Amino acid sequence: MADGSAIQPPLKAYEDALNNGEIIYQVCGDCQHVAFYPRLVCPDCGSTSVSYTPSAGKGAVYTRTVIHSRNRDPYNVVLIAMDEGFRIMSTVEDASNDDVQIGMRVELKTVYPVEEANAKAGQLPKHVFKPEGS
Amino acid sequence: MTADLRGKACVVAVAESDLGEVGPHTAAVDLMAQALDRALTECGLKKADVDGLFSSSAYYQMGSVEPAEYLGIRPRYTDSTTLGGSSFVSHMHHAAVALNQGACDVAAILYGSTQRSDSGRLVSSANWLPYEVPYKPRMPVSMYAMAAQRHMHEFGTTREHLAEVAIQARQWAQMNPKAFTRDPLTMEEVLEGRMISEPFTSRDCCLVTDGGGAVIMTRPDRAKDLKQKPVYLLGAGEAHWHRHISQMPDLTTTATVESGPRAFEMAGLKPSDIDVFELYDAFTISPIIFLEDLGMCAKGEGGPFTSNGNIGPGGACPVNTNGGGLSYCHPGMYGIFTIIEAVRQIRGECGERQVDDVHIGLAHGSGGVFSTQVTSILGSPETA
Repeated sequence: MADGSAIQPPLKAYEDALNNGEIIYQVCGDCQHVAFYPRLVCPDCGSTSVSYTPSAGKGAVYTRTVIHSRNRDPYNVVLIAMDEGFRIMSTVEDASNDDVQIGMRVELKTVYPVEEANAKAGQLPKHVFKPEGS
Repeated sequence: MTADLRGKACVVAVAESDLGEVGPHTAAVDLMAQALDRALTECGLKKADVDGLFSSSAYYQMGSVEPAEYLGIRPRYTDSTTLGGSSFVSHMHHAAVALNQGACDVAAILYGSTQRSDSGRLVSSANWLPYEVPYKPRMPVSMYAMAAQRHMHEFGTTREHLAEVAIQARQWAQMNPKAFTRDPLTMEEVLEGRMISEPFTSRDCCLVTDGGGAVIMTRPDRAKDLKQKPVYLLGAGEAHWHRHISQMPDLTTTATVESGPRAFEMAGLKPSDIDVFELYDAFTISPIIFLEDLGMCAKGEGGPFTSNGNIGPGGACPVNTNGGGLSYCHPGMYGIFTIIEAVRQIRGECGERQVDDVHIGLAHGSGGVFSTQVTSILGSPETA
């Protein structure tokens, strides 16, 4: 990008990676700042020497909530502190909501393809996590 | 450097529109008109005097343009700054700058919302982060819930600490005839309320009401000739670091740690000089974190600090003396009501809920998901 060569638009790169079963993040080529979500510039130093790096898909629950709704079962939403140093919103499956607590080690379980109706609205595929080693 | 605005702009009138539930045929801009009329009457200025207009709402994409057309105001200075719920505290800061640059002579800040009458849905122009959308967090409660959960994890803050905030807000509301909910609220009722987004029950969450407000400002020379005792803007500071919750650097610390010191530096004051705190309380965790970030207690001690009646009627640190967004009024963007209550407390006109000897009040707005923070410090003429 610094030399004018184009990289893929961030949303497209992210979606393609998800469809390949991976979550991408960024390490700035100039200042090594770790960033998620992907951008065309480093949000720390402003450099355009940015590229996309696949994550190993492991981390720990940074915080969590469980949403209670009248028309579906309670479900958890978490922010995960990924081992590479970025934070991402997701959900943890294969564990009861009560067991999904701050500090719990988790790993990427799978990526669900986006449903057709939501795809038209531009929604992204959904990565989900599970307890590490489960 | 800090802009030299201390004591150079005054609030000369504040007013609410009708609050609560105004019915299905009232528009948000109707409430702005009602509030402005009441505010003009209060200070003796005329609509034609207003040459600076400041407004934001979830209803109108062109925040200040919509009410200007409706009211027949042709402003020479116009500002639709949209920061969510803190917009109006920001408008007060911007108005002080504009007044002192001669860009306008009389500034009106307006807000209106009919969120309750619109089926109780949160009418929101909020944009969602595509990376968060698939997880269906409930906007905005789940974001604040995750901050509360982290605060509980790091500092041992308890469910009871959160509940104490709601209970004391209700105690203030019981002394405010305009408050939406005035029946007594017990610890059991908060803890056993309907679970919304853990750890919050419905009682940890702000009301959904209709309502609007108006604030009129001018320079001190002109303020002296008006009907109300002027309330001076002593300090103001703004800060924002993130828009979406996954981007918040630390979920237990807000950009108030920058907006607060900016306001205090301008005012030449310190946290212990504040007589009343009007803090945006969309959820019970909010005043806990804001009091920490404003320096009233150490980070992590907000739970114990707000307990045992300390922020309620008769407490050492009066917070949200109108009953707040939790019990008085919350039409979606509550910030303007923090200004209205701080001004009234400084004027000493709050009746049963009046705090003794108020000279300096702090009005703090927050918008988004702990995203935009604007702190203002207001004072009586003796403090200016």
